[in-house]
Amino acid sequence: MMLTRTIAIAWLTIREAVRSKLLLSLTCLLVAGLFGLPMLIAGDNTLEGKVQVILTYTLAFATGLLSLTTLWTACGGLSSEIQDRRLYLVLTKPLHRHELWLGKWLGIMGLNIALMGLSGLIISAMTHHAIRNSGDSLKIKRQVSEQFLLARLAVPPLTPDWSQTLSAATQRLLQSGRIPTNMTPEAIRQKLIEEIKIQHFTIPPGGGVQFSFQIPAKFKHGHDLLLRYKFDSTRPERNPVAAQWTIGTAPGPLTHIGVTNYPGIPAVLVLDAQSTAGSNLITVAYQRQDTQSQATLLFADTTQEPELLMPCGSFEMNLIRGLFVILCRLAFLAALGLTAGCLLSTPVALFTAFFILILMASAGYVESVATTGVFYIPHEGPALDPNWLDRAILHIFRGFNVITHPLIQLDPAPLLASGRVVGGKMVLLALGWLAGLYSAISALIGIALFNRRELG
Amino acid sequence: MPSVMIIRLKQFVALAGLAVTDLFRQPATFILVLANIACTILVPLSVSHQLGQQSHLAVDSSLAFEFVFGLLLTGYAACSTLHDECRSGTILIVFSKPIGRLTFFLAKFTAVALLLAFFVFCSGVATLLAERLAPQNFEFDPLGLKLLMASPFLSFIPAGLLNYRSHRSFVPPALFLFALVLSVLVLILSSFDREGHRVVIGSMMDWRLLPACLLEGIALLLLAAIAISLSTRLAAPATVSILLVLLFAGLISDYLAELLQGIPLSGSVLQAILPDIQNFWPADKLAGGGVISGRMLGHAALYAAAYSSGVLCLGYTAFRNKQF
Amino acid sequence: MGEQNGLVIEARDLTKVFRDFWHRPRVCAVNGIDLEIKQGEIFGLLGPNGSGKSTTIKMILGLLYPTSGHLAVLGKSPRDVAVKAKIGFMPEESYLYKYLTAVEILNFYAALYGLSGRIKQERVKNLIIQVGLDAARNRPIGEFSKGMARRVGLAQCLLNDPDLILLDEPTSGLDPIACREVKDLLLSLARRGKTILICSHHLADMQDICDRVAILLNGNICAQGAVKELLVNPDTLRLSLQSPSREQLTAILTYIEQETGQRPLVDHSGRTLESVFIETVTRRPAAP
Repeated sequence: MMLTRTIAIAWLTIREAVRSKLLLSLTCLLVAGLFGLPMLIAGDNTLEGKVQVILTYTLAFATGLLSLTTLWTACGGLSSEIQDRRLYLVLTKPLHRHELWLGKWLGIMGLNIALMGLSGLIISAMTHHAIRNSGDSLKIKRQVSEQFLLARLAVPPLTPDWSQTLSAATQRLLQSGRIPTNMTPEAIRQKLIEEIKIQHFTIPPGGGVQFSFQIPAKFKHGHDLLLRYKFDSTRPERNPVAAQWTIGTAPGPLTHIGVTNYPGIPAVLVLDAQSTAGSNLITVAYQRQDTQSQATLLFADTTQEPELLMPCGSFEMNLIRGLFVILCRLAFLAALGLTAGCLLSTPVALFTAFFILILMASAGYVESVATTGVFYIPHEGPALDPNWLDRAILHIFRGFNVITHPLIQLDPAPLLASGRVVGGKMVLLALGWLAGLYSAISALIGIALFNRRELG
Repeated sequence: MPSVMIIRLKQFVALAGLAVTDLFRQPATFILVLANIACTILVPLSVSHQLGQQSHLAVDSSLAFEFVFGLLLTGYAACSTLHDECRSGTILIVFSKPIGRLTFFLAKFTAVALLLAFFVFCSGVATLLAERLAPQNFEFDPLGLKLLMASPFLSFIPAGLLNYRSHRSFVPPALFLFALVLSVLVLILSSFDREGHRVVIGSMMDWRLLPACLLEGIALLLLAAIAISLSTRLAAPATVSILLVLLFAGLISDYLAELLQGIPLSGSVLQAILPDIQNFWPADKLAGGGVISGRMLGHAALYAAAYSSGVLCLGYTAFRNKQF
Repeated sequence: MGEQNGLVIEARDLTKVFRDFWHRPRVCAVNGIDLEIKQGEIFGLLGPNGSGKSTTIKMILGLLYPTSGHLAVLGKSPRDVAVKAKIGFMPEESYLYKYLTAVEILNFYAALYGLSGRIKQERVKNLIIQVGLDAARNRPIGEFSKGMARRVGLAQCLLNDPDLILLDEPTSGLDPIACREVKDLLLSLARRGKTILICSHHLADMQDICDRVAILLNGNICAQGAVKELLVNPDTLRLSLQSPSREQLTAILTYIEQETGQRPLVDHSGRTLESVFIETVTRRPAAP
């Protein structure tokens, strides 16, 4: 019986959206944006750039538009029904308020599923079309297909053993007598390791660096691997740097690949299946070919080490998983919107929901304040002591971070745009945290408020 | 017997007065104006990694917030005052009186314009404060921050007391008191430097920002004309969406014209139809110490007046034939 | 059924006070009323605007919560959802979904009552015909006139064959023939044992059909009782005769005057405007 009533409410919500042309308008806007944005945004005139533009901007547009309209429909729908008194005739029926709330939520999610599905179809079709119909050579098309039309798992490099280098550095520090007095031994050790890492990854002209990757045993050889890396430069001019990658270690077979890369721009190296066959330990060495003394100094970004990308699924399944994670986010927004709509009048609920959206978009800043503990870092001089206001605001930010942190963690767009896998763990976390826990908490609060609300 | 013109004027004043009173009482107006002020002043305080560019950041973000919130307020106000009145049927009572549709239409536009004028004033004050209070060399102004934190209490508590004693609506007195308190704050802070020493009154404020905010206000007025014309037929979501698209398209109108170069006349038609919002974006003009001159404001106002007149004519044509 | 002592609605010292933002009492809409409505009767709630009629109805429906006092509907609290399965409500304004058709709206409300399949289809079909909307069954409610929307409101009220029917201005917006039909319907429902509570300003209609009424003023009940008893004027008597001759009339009047010392008032008994209208309209042939 409860299910019948809940489904009746959900079906009513969907029908209202269809009949009021909301669904039609939204579909037109979505389609126009998904097709129009990649046409408007100029990439770097490469096929890879074009595909990245398609994936990045279309996903962002679909997510943004559906987030906004979910909030709008959830807040506005319920609160306007209360305002128009259409809800009187519904609530005088044998219907619990939680059934009404749940029915509305299901109806909104039904619409979202349909629109997300449409978005996924369009994005997939556009990606395939862009690769298939580009004027580039077959080799480039194959490379781009390898990069984007397969879901790839990122394998980080093995951490070198710093112990010998660390003890040598510690000895040198002790001998110099310049040990900082305001730092704990552990802090000094961490600082030394950071300096060692920077030195290790700094590549002077003619210099090089080596990385080793341990591939999981379940990986089936016979597929190309991708090495994604980025180097930066200490000099402002960004001249291309010639170098050579060597795959494998002597005395085994070695494969040499010459590259020319621009500092600061991520690059992808395709490791042919044959060059990595038979071994689960892949070693790659980067050697600069330029030896002039005035050349640019390069160093790998220590916060974003190179990663080996191994294929583990298709683009379509990966896209479906990614869209599912986005759906979980929309489920949370729908719950939040309905809760606001239960309590507030229509325009107030709408703008409150709008600000919640802005807060969620600022999740990155909230996290940085919550984790670093400061709002600013003085350019010179010691850090200022936080006063009572700073501490109070910090607690508020930490509170917000508890809510917004999963939103950063559970964002599939950067993964899809770079061909990386949206893993089962992320899907489960999204289902559990966003669609499950957060939505349930919003639902409980919303239903409790709705039960207390008088409709006079 | 008063002349027809005087009667019409009285009707116009009554309609516009009622509409603007109604708009000021709405919680959404309160939220949008307050949100604009809060974002304008607080964002530069919180985002502190511009290495000496803090004032520049404060100005840029303030002007952007004014555009965005102003657009939302315009769209909402236009629909609330015209479209919702048509939908709810209260317009029937108005038109059962000897009131012409043109008088009614222009009165509604005037009400939205008056609301926008207040919004632009608040935005201007908030922009001045944002620029003044932005941390310099990563250090905040303690006097300014203390006064800023006190300002909501100084305005909302009296408004709350007024609501408690006389049952008057909370929103209009709260808004006006807040605007007044912030204006006083501007005058005070313009007389003290960051160390708390007295200086010549007005020397601590970048007064160039006021004409910049006014320039944007003229753009918002242009958008208000579009909004009120759209709201004769469309509800709030559609109106605001179209305004957003027009704002965005107006900002990139040059780029769009370039894209359509191959198609004859398309570029010039597009540039004629789309409002040239780039004319009203003052941040670039202020960069490097530039000022918004009176001549610039005059040109912008002339363009806005001409464009708005055309749009209002179209809007009135749609409204004149509307059946209820 | 669950009601105690044959009482369908029981209110004792029922009060509703609306408060402002500061939680101060603003308006006392219902002030300590006592109400007992028995099963099978048609009860009228009368009163000027702002007297508390709608507030009382909303408390009975569980939309508003009493500030103090006791209120039981069919023996249970009005907030008990199970009670609503036996209640039908027709509001003053038709708060309907304008994009749905009449059939879809009734199907939707039927689903909320837990009706399904054949029973739901038949009931919806019969009600649509009963309220005279068969020709407009598939038009969106947004295109309906006020009267037509009121008929949909009446139909949804009867979907679940309720034991208690609450009607707020049921004849508002209806033409006299439709009014008569509604009144006849309500009388037939009462004969079947349904309890009906009506709020209306149409006193003639209330007089026609109500068994008992209560008159509210400023939140208090200032008169309550059976209609016949309230309307009776015990100080006067009315005699009706089939048109006597002039001489007979004079003799009767003289005799009464002699016996009682009073000169009685004499006039012809009349019909109501409603009955004249109905007779006229139903007698005329329909226009070609």
